[in-house]
Amino acid sequence: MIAVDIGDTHIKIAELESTDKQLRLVQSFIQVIDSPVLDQNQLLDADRLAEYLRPAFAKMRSRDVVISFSCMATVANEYTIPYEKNDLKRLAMVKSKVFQNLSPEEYLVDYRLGAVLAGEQAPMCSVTAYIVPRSIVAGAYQCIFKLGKRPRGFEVAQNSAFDFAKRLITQKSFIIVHVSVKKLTAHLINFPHDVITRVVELNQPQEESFTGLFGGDLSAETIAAPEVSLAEELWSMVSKLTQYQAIKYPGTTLESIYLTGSATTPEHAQLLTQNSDIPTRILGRDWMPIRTSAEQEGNTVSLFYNLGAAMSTGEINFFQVLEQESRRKVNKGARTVRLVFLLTILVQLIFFAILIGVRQREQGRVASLQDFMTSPEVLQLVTEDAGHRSRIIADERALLQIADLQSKIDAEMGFSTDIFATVESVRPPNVTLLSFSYQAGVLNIVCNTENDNPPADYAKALEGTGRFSDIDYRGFSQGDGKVSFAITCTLGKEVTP
Amino acid sequence: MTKRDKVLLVVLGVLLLLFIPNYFLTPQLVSGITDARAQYQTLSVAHSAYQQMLGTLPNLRQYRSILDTELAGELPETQGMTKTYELHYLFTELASQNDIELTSLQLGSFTELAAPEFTEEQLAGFANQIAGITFADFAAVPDNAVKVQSIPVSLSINGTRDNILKLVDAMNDYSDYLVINSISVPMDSESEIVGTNLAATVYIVSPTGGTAE
Repeated sequence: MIAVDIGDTHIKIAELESTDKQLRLVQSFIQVIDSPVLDQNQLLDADRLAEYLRPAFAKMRSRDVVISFSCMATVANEYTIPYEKNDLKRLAMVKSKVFQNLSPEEYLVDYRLGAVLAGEQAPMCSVTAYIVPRSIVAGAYQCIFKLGKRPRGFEVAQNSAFDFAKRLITQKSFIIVHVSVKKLTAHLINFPHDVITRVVELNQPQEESFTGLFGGDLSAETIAAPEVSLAEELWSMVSKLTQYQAIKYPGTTLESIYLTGSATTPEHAQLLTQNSDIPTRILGRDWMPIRTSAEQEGNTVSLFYNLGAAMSTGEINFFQVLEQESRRKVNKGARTVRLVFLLTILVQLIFFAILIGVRQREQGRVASLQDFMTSPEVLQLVTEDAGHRSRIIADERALLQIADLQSKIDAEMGFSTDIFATVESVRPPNVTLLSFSYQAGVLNIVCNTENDNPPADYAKALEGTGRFSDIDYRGFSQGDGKVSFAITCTLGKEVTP
Repeated sequence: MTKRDKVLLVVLGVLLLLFIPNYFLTPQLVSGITDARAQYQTLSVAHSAYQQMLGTLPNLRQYRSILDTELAGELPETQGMTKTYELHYLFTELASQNDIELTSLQLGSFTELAAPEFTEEQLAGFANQIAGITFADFAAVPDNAVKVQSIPVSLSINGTRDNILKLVDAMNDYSDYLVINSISVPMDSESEIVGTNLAATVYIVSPTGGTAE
């Protein structure tokens, strides 16, 4: 949204952004104007207004525009102490009827009903209506359309510079009175409350003015109102506000009374000083600092500016302050929440990244092992290994079987020429070997000799060879001059040849 | 909405941010890691075995070569003589080489010898001598690495005593596979001896088909 404040000396343009139910200032411009582009009744120069707005609008993306006009015609106001709630409603109804009589083709009405309620009563009440000539609004809207934006509404602002000035005053409870050639406006400020007390058109016959606008439907009291005296009205306003202050905020005291406006004179301040003990001071016409006695006593209020002028020269950037404040308010909470969520997401991402990394590392290790074990080279080596092992085991078993066979063959003790050579080696010279037979480890030899001693000698010699486990000699027989005998030799398993 | 509500909302959001991804992703990731680690443990055992195997492969090659040579030396000349006529050639050759007249040759029937049964201790002890071969590997190979058969032989021969002893001596060259069970030799004359009977047993060792690569 773009907000445009059309003043007499400056046009303030601000682009605002709605964030989380609050407004944030995006950018702002101050345009100094040579002379007012509108007065109370008409838009004086639409083309010049467009030229003032064009550079700023070109830099703004928002299309919706609201306009604030300053100081429109005040047609009615009411101020009561106290007022019942129902009376407020009735008053609103009456005023509505009054404004219904206005020509809708010529005028638009900005109607305000303000009140401070205390229980069922409204000790302070103001009813103010501003009549805005339709031609001003229509002209401004056309100007905005030409610049490619959409007008969304208008606002009547009274004494906007005056309202800015109020915000700069740091005291909590004070009265500020704006005195101009045409109007007298007084505000009672009780921070953070702001009570608009009274706006009076000066130097105009009230009866004539009102009759011209509303015809004969106004109350006799209003019509009969005399021309307002500035000094009397000024004191009347301040005294009523002082009274209200005492009723609404008992125990508190007004800290200051400020007088502003082009028509303010030292006599006005003197009037108030004579009738009240509240420190009174005058703010300069161009809002430049003015030293007063109150300030010399240590009052902190000292500097006031014509804000439009100060901002156009860059001396003060009021919007920047607003921007910082709004951004701080809008973003502080959201930023914290975003930070928390981002940190949470970051932690989550780190956590998952670690898990994924660990998983990939483990899977990589597995894959490397699988690649190794399924590679053709390894498979070939495995096959070769299995073949070697199988063959080795088979060979070993075969050797074992062959060794077992050798054991069996050895156990059978087959005949060999060694046995015969052993028998022959110990045979006495006069002994003749007639025959020998061998079967199943038993060797039977048959011999003869010429005397009876050699058979025993031979048997003893065979025993002495150690080749046999047993030597069986059963005697001899004689015949033909020869001694015949037989010896049975048993081969033993345990005997070493 | 109060500040407390906002704080609770933020805390709830943070918890949801923490819970939802964890609920869906963390179990899968952790499960994947656990599975991969278990698989790695399993594979690493096999991998170690492979590495060890590759290390022992040269030894296995060398050992096999040695064994093949040894076994070839151990196998007798009679290996593969599974036909009786082959034995006929053996004995007639021996007789003629030693001037012996072979008057009778009686060949019995082949009888296969049962494979020896080794005890586990024997096999385990033997397996331990071979690098990289376990008892389980050894026990997995059948017992009949070679086939052993025996056949009885009876010979009637004529010849001098010395020639008969030469024949016996020649047969003793086959003593590992040929056993002279009985022999009867009259010694009353240096002349030719007639009718000497000799009984022997011949063992035939044949490599089985399954043992060879």
